[in-house]
Amino acid sequence: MKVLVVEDDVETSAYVARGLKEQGHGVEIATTGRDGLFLALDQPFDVIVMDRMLPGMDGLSLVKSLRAGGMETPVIFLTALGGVGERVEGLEAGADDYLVKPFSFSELNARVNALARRPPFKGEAAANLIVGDIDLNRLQRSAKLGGQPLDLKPKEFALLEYLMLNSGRVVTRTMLLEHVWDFHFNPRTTIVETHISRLRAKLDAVRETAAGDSKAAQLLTVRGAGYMLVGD
Amino acid sequence: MLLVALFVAAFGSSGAAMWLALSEPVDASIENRLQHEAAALTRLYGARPLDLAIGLIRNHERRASGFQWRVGTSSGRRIAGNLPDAAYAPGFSTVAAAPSTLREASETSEEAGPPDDDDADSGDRLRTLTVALRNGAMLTLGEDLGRTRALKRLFLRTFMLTSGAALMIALALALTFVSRLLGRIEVIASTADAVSGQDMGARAPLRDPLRADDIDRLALSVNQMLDRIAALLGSLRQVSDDVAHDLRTPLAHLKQRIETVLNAPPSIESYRGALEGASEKIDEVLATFEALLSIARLEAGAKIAGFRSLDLAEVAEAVVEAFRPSAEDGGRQLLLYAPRPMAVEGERSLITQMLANLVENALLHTPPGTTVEVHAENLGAVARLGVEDDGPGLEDSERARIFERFYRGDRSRTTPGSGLGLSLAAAVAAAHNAQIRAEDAGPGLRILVDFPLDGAQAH
Repeated sequence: MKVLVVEDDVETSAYVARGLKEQGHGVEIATTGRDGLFLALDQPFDVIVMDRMLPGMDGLSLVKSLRAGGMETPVIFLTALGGVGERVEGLEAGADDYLVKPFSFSELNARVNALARRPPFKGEAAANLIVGDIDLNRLQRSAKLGGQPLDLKPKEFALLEYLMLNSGRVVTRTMLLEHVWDFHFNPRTTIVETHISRLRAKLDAVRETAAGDSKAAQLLTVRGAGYMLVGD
Repeated sequence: MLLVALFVAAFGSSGAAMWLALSEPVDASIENRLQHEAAALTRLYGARPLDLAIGLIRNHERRASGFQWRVGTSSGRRIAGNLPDAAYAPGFSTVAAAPSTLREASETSEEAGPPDDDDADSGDRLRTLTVALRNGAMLTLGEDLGRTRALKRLFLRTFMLTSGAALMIALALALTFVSRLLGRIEVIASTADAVSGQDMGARAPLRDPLRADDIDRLALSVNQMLDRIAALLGSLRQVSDDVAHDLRTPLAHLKQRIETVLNAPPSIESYRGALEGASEKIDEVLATFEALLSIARLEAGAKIAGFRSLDLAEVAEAVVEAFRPSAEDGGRQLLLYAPRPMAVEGERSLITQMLANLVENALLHTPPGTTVEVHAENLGAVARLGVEDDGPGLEDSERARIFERFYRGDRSRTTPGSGLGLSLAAAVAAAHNAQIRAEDAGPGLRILVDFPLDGAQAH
């Protein structure tokens, strides 16, 4: 995957670039908004990671220019401006995600992976999501494991749906809070952990009654990063 | 000094005016008296033979009137009288007095006093009136101007004396008054100086309000201003102390932990543990920092983009749903009472965070077995969000302070948290023009947030 990092702070861009390279991605760095615009128009990228406050041309204008030019490359804002209004402003300008500094690399990495246009997920556009032995119908809001119905509460269903959409990729606690609960703050309570463990318990309970399957989907905890649903 | 000059000018001009007003009639009265005397003498004695008339006039002047006189021929030759010889024409004139006459006539002795301008100028002179007697002789009457001069001098001396005394008294009074006034202003100024220095508690002294004047009102205003500044400084100091404490403590722990590991024998395991611990501590600091920033942003009244119509009942349901599993795991019950949709204008994620903070506060600070209920009700004038628990509740004194930054009740000292959750909730409420308050739920704590439902917000 090729990532463009537009960031004027050398330490941050080096940190981000090193991490992404370790993950096997190709990284280009631009330190001004104009350079960023030039590179984005010049080469194809899978994801653009961009600071909001940039010399020459600020991030908001840069994203607007890209979108106005019909470019749909996913953009993540990386910014110290963490107010509610600022996040809304960034997303309305055309960014796909918004990450407030300071951030952990695992958080950024998870979001970059989630945004990258991969080969279309099988049936992503369709109503049915299938990961391992889990089969989820997005229209009927129902899910089955090994053919057995799963009795899920609305948020448990939304959680499973998001994990399935991102199967094979790490999703962070923050990403889950934002996408499943629409919470843009960090609660002190272990909301995510509790829901994950309930979901796991339900998956395990149904699986015990179902026939043993080598294709059993597993909901993994990735230490220090988040969760990942794997199907194989 | 200006004041003194003003006083002198005032008295000087009033003195000059009086002097002019007085000297005019004094001079005029001399001429009047001469005219009356001359008329009387010519009427009474003019018909008599000349030598008899002269005798009568001499006697009259010696005994009664005291004018100087002279009778001469029409050619001016003296026949009798004590006026000095001169060419007396009919009518008024002024002549020099003879030295002897002066001595005689001058009643006021000037030997002891210094000679003044008046003496050299108008002294030693006579005002005379010459009229014709019947038989061709001329009668001249004279009055020593020195006598009126003495009168004027007396007036002048009296005036100088009284006005001098008045001037002195007035000056003394003015100085006393001004210095008292300046003294009181000086007290206010020194109060300000004291405050500028170190003593924030210094205040200008106030007198009985019944006797209050402009200076007292100034002092009162200064004191009120100082009270307000002191209150603001106090809260600022409180916040900075708290920030210093709440940010410094985890940073100090962090440093201790790192140093402990650095001083111990090198080991990948201990390094890893220390770094993980450090990362957690930093997250704690960042969370506190973030909460402070959010509160500051809300309190600064920064315009929040995206105030939209939202359903409080829906927000309440989402929050309750999110926290219910954790509440149940902790042995608490989380209930929802939100029977109908309830639209208000607001920023959804902020209101969600506010309610989440209130619910977390109830869950974290009550013992297991507690029931926490979230309710969303339309009360007509207001849309009310409430979070109520049946836990042990708070003392009145504690309840009054729970929205203060970094305030942590005695019971919550040991639980994790920044002490900013309810402050942030209060800041969100204020940003939405909503009233937040804490009540005794007897038992337990009830926190209510009333969103205004005016015409624009009712749907």
